[in-house]
Amino acid sequence: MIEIFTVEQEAIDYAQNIHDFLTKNRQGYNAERWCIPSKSEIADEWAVKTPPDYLKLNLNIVEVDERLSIPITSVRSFDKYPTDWRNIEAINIIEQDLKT
Amino acid sequence: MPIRDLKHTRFGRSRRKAVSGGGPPSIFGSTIGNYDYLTGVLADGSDFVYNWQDLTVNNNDQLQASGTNQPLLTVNGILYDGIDNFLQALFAFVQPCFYMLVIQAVSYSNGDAIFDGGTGSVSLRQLGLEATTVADGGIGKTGQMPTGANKIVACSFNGAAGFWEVNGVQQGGTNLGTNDPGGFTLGALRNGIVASHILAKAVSLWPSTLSTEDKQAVYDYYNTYYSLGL
Repeated sequence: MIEIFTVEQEAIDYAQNIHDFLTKNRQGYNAERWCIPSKSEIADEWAVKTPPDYLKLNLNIVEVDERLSIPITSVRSFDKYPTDWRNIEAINIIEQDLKT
Repeated sequence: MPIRDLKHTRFGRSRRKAVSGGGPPSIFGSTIGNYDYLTGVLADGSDFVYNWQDLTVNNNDQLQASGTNQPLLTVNGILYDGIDNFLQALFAFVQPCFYMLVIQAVSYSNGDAIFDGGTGSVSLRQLGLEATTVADGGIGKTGQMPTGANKIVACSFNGAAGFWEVNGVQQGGTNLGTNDPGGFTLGALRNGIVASHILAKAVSLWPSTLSTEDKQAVYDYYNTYYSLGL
């Protein structure tokens, strides 16, 4: 699930929150970061994907406030990037590729 | 971190099954990158892959340092979620370049990239009609990549003398361009966008062309080794 934020710092904070959560709760997690939030090509919106295993990991955590939850500051959720999100960038790259 | 060699995991599969003819064909000895999901996969405790190790001495491991981009190791292959998963190896890789992959389209989305180069555009993408793929400069044949079916894809990027095949069936177009890939990205374009929803079992990369006999030997090996039934 992808969470869309309208405030960049909230997206950055959520990505860092996920990274801290996985560092603590996912065995062997050693990523340098969870992600750098990606920005929409058409609006001031930033996206962060929620780890697909977070509900499973939450089951092992007794303290509710230590579980990962979707932040209420997220304004929209998607299963995949919206078609008007990164495809614009992709189309530009594909067009560049076709010219080379 | 431990190497997730599936022969030692709950998946319980053997790294090297008995294959008629002995083992992998000798042409694997000249690969610049060779990847098998059954061995040399580094993953965390939830099976998210951060290093698909190169089985050659070249150490062209496919890496991913960002957690969100890491694909999932499964019993059937490495699963790329079609959202943002990709692995990438950057290395000197110039034409002629020959690829063989054992992959499956899990779902289909026009424009999504199955693989690309590391720095230069050398890609295979889902295209237009469902179950059609296309290599750079090529012409896809409808119905060659239906979802849920394992396919052996061969691509020869060799200027005007290139070609590409799905399960041994040559697709349209021979001039796949002159770009040098500069490495290999699996699951998305080289900058990580338009990720595809695929399952990958193997990738082999050669810095050369392959003879018809060698290509067939690799095809037969993969078909038997992974019990593809092609």
